[in-house]
Amino acid sequence: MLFHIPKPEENYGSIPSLPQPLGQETVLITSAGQSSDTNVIKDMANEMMIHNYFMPKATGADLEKTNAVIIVFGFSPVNAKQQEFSVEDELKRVQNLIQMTKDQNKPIIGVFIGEKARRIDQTNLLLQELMPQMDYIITTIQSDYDNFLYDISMTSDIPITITESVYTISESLVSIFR
Amino acid sequence: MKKKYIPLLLAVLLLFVLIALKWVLLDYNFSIMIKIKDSAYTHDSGPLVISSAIYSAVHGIVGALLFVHLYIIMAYYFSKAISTVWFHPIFILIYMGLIQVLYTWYGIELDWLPNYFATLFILIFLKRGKSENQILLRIITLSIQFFLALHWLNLIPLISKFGFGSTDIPTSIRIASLYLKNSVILDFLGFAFFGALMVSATLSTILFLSFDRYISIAESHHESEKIYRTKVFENRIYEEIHALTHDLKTPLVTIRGLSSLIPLSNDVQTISTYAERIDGAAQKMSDMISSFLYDTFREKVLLTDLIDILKAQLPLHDIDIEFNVLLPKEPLLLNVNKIRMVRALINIVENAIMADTLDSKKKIEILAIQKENHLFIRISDNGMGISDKDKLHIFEIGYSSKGTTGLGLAFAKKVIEDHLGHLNLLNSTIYGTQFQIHLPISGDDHAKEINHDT
Repeated sequence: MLFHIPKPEENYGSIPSLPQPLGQETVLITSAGQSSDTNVIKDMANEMMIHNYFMPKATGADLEKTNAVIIVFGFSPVNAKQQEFSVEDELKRVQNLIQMTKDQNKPIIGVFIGEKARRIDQTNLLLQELMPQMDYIITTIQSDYDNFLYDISMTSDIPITITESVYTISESLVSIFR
Repeated sequence: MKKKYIPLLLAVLLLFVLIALKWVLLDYNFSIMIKIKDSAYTHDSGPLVISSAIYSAVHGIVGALLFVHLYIIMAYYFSKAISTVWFHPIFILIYMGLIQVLYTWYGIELDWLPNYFATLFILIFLKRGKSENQILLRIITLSIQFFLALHWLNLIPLISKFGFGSTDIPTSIRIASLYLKNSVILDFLGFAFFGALMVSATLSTILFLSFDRYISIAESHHESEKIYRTKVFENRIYEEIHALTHDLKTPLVTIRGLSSLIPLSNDVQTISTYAERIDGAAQKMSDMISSFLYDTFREKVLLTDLIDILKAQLPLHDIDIEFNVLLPKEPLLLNVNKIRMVRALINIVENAIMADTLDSKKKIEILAIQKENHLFIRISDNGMGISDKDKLHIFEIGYSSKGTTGLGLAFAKKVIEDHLGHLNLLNSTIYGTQFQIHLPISGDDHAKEINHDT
């Protein structure tokens, strides 16, 4: 399975985008792991004219004036060393954020575009603990090379979109709100 | 400072540099992350390219420095192990272990694939050459090129599926380039730099191998030349011995002749005379042998006698040569090693005899001039001269433009310099060549009337 990249038709439960909006703008974009992939999603949201607040280390207090949360998964050892945080710190922060978001009945979307290289132990821990609590999952074929996220979506009954590449997830992002 | 400690000091210096690089690396890593984020906002792939260059350069240099450091230590303490078949795998194991320890201490993820392949390639390329020739230059040159080349592979999105670029920064660069739809730029740059550096490393290795071959050939020629010169010197000695034995025959004939006459004579006076002459001949033989054995041996001899001995040993009657000698009117007594000085003069004159001439007849002239305490002997011929190229080498041992031993003029120069004199080529044209011998003469070298019997 080392070089196997599953085609979209192999993931029979994958949908190209949401059939109807899940939430409303303005969306809070945050990170679980502080990888630079968060900045890519932020820029994509700007390109798609999705109103957003970008706060990589958002907490529950930042939910004010937002109607949805996008969490971009991916642990960055470089940023963790520089900013002196651990995966447990991230896990705790994001878990609190998820809890407060659910308390406010706001949708949470989980995005992972880090491909196989980003699937280090810390990232896997975040995905395993937090992704089942999402309302919608967006990922790419290369990132879900082992069907890990697909299995979570099937088990937790969460709609999932698996795109061919990172630049094709914009349609899925827009479908959350429009 | 002893030369053997220089590699060790270099290894210690490299270790300090590697330790200091920790803070540099952390700063660079963070600045690279900022550039990656900027590129996503500005949709500009320039910062991605710069990030890639910085990343491969910095991590390539760290890998290269550690390699050089480790190789110096191994070469210094385990030099005998380098030539064994186990050296490569053990070196690679130790290196990979050390670099993992180093990066763990740095707190940075390690991309092990480029470091592994770079180490392997360098060891293979080093093994092909002669390891002792300029080893430090070789490992520094090759390690910088190979490590930089292999670390560029980390930044090529196209080959990430094979395990390259699996750490945070290369992954971030790749994701950003995929988003910006310009991963082909990184593919191109990565392959371009990798290819160029690998070609450079290969060419460096070829140059080193050529240098090794050149050194081997030069060493082989040097050995052959040493053997040749030794044989030539031996032949020269045999020539000198031959000349000496030939010269010894004359007084020996005198001794035999006179000793055969002694029994036939009853006159005491006559016998006494014969005995004196026998003693004189024996003394002459002793002097000749001493002249040959000891180059510092000196005896008083008239300049005219020296020239006469010279003329007697030259084949002047066999060849049509006009031979002129002009000496000072006042007889001049010299304190020289007669045998050697005659041989020296013979060598110079023989060159004149062998020279081709444009004239119908060869002419050789010996002109001796005394100026105060100095004697100048000029030996001139009407040959076709010595070329400008040969003039630079005529006094070098073994150099000859006529296929001879090339020792004549070198021997003559040495003999004259042993007498505190000088031998120079005054001039040489197509009309003739002129050598000048300068000999200092002491105050008591001026001749007094002497009688000597031969």
